[in-house]
Amino acid sequence: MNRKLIRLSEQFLIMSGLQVFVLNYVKTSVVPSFFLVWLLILTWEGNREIALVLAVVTGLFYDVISRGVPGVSGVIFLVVVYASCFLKTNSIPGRVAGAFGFSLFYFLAFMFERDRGFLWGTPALFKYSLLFALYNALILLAIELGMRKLRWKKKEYLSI
Amino acid sequence: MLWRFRREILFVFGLYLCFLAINRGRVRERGFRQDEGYSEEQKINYEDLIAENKRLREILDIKADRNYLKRFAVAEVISIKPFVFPAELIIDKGDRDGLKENMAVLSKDLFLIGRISLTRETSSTVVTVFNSKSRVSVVVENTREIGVLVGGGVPYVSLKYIPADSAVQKGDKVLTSGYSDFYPRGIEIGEVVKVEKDPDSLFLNVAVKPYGCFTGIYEVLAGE
Repeated sequence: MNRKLIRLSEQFLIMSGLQVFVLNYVKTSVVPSFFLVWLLILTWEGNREIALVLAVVTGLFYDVISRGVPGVSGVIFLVVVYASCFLKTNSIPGRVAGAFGFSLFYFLAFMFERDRGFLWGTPALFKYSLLFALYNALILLAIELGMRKLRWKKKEYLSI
Repeated sequence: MLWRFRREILFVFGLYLCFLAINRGRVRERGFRQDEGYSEEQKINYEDLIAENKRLREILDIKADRNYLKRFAVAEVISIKPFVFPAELIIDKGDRDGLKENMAVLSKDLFLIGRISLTRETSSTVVTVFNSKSRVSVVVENTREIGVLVGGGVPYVSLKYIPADSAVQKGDKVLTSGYSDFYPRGIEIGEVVKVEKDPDSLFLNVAVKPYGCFTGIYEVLAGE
């Protein structure tokens, strides 16, 4: 249990570092959400309850570092994690497609205001939501490939 | 029984916590700031204070130079949405400080950011030129042609109703025209970055890069 907690804390720190870095130093029109990708991977790896708790924590933290209204990202992360619990997939294409779809939902939900509709116009919203989803899907792909390679190496080593 | 619905319980509890955080944020916007529980070291971040002091001094110098700015209040930006090409800001001044809906909001470099769309007791919501609901009556400095700057596009906003035979070109400055009820005349917004002719239209497609709406907004000037 302690080991798992330490591993999760390490992962949280790495994701926070990457998120702060891209928010402040990467000068692109949209930046990927490392937290969202991490939460999706945690859910699909079977840590559903932990991912639900972390969705609130990382959402609040994300709003603080991106100067948003605290709680808004938490709600969307929570909905995404809860919905992703029902997507049971182990294949890389399935997970990449899932990450793409959930990222698209996150972006559109984030840009929506109850009384005022979407904050950007439709063409900009369409372009940047796709770009955001693509970035996240690529990050998830890289992490999945890395994780599977590591697991394969570990198995081979143990079999010897 | 409860264990079976653990995920749903966590989901509902999480939502409750997030809404609590959102409400707390709104309470902060209304001015009831709670800073108990922090040590003095945590309260004072000297580097931030020095940077803030420098920015405020710059604003004061600018205000002293220009008479019309004396009516403007200096406000701090509490939140930005979204982080890039912000469409909405929340500032820490409201009704109590004399701010009213539709007042103009400028950056510390005196570029137009947008206008106040909603005021509360001690905070206000600002709609920036990137917002899909934003419309600003503008004039191109070189040609003196009047158009409407329409929000919703990023990273550039579009300038509508510039005639197809116009001499407008890349690099031309775009200023507020003063014909709308919201913005004083002559406030710089940005520059023309793209001019395209549309054979099916009587008007040009003009893209404008606004200078005032970027993530480094910490203090703004609001007034009329």
